[in-house]
Amino acid sequence: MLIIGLSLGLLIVLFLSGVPVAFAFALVVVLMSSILGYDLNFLLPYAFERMSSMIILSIPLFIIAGLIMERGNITRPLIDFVNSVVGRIRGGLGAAGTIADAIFGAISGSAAAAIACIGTIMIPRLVEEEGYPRGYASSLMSAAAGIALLIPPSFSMILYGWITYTSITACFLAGALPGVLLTTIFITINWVMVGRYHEVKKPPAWPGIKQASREIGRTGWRALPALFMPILILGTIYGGIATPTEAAAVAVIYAIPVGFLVYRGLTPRNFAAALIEASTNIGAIMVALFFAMILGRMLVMENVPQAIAAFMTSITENKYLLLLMVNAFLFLVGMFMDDITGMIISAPLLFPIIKEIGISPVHFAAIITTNLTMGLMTPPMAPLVFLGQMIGKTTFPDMIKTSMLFVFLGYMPVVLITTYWAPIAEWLPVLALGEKILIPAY
Amino acid sequence: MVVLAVYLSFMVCAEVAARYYVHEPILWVEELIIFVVFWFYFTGGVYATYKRSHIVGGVLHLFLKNKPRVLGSFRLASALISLGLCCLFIVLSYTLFTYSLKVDPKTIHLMLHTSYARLALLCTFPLMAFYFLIELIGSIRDLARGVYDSSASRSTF
Repeated sequence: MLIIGLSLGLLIVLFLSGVPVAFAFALVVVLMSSILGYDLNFLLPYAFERMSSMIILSIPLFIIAGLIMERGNITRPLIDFVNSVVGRIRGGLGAAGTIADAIFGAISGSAAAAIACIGTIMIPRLVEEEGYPRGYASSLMSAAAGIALLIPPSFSMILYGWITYTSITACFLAGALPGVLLTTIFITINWVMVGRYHEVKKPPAWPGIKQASREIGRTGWRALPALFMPILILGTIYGGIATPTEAAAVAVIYAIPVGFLVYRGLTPRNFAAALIEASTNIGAIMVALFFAMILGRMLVMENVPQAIAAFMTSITENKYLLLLMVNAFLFLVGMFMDDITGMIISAPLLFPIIKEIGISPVHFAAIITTNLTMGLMTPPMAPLVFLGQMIGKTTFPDMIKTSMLFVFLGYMPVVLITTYWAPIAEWLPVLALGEKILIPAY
Repeated sequence: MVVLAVYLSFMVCAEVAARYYVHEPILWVEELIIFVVFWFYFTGGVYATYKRSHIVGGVLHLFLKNKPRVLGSFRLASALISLGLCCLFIVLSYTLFTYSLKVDPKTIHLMLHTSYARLALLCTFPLMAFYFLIELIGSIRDLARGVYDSSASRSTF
């Protein structure tokens, strides 16, 4: 167990020192196999078989669909529509950006894509048109981009489902209500904060029901093809028509004519560029997953998850304290890793303890994803804050205070509610798929 | 990569269409998908190496902003480790491929030789090694000059 502990320590050191995650996993795999006497010739085919799964193919297909929609200029009509609905309340444009992030999450499932697409348009508008402080506007859009990981479809949920053999359809639904709650909290925080920033413009006057509904109708019609995409994805999955992988492929095929013919943002050149960018992201994720699968297998063969479970239960058997320990662990993971790496490492390690204390795999899907989403905002790594800083053309010190406001008043309450109030994660999956979905597959 | 991305999307859609419109589930489509999927993943991996877009969790640049030599040393070490591992996995994937050829497993419906799917590893690891070698040379050059090009940092996503 000492060798394994040292190896995992080395893995963290390699991550922190900037070795690509894939090759950090690979190095630890090579070292562990040589010390513990495993033959890599037998472990490579295992990773090969695991990666040849149709389920995991949904991640690449969702990445492709998201990037095609992103290049297809869907963002502006989407924002205009949401703004026409909520833009007349105090902090309306900020609320519109937050909701647009949630809707974009239902299209792409990626927080990075959400901040890149929505943030690029919203931050300049918030600052230049409405007078929001630049640091605050960037923090709001960065924090809201995380909602994309909770609203289905979500890459993190697909990974979790694939690693723990849990229904991905159920995992998608587990994150939906925490995502909606987070959206509501962010809109409320923004409403309060805008009241404090006196330089922010007052919302436009109410033009009357006729004028407002005409504007909503006009912008809604323009946004309809973009809004239909999440309906198509989720409708085919929950209507029992297609698996998540098939729904992702349908989304790709739908996105192509929408991008070329409806929004006209796609040209053959940027379509090819979108596919190349998607393939690059997919390659980076999949090579990392390939080596992570081998490492995961070795940890299971050495009974590491069980040892961690035994260690944690030796400290306390109280379910609530154990959940707090799990949250603390995930908080630390989130501080130093992105959501994908964090999921690859934490899900298999924590799953046995979760089963032992009687938490359903679906509930844990929501717990782990809300935690890792929060991790995208917590320094030192804080990838969403750094992306927001880059897109918002601001500085880290300018953003960090308000970013922490969204972490402590937004993310943290949602993490705690999701952890200690199971119905928020389980209600929708049980409603759609029945009680048996809460039983672990193994 | 572009062709493979479009191919995969259309094939999965074809499977759905066949199920609902022809009322004939075409299971062999899945075999065609799985056959090329590794080529897609690992050519993407090669391109990610070329573009330096592999996922990294490095936080050193935050703490060592004014120490280009230290940062450069870490980058050099990272490229060296990655290069060494790629070389090792070239050998391992060769063994895997030759073993697969000997056993010659085939898919159920189309009787495709799955060894050729595994060939993806053997073909892509040398390319990754090549790009890590280029990165290593660049790192050595930067270190000798005492500069650290932060724009050459890898993506954190």
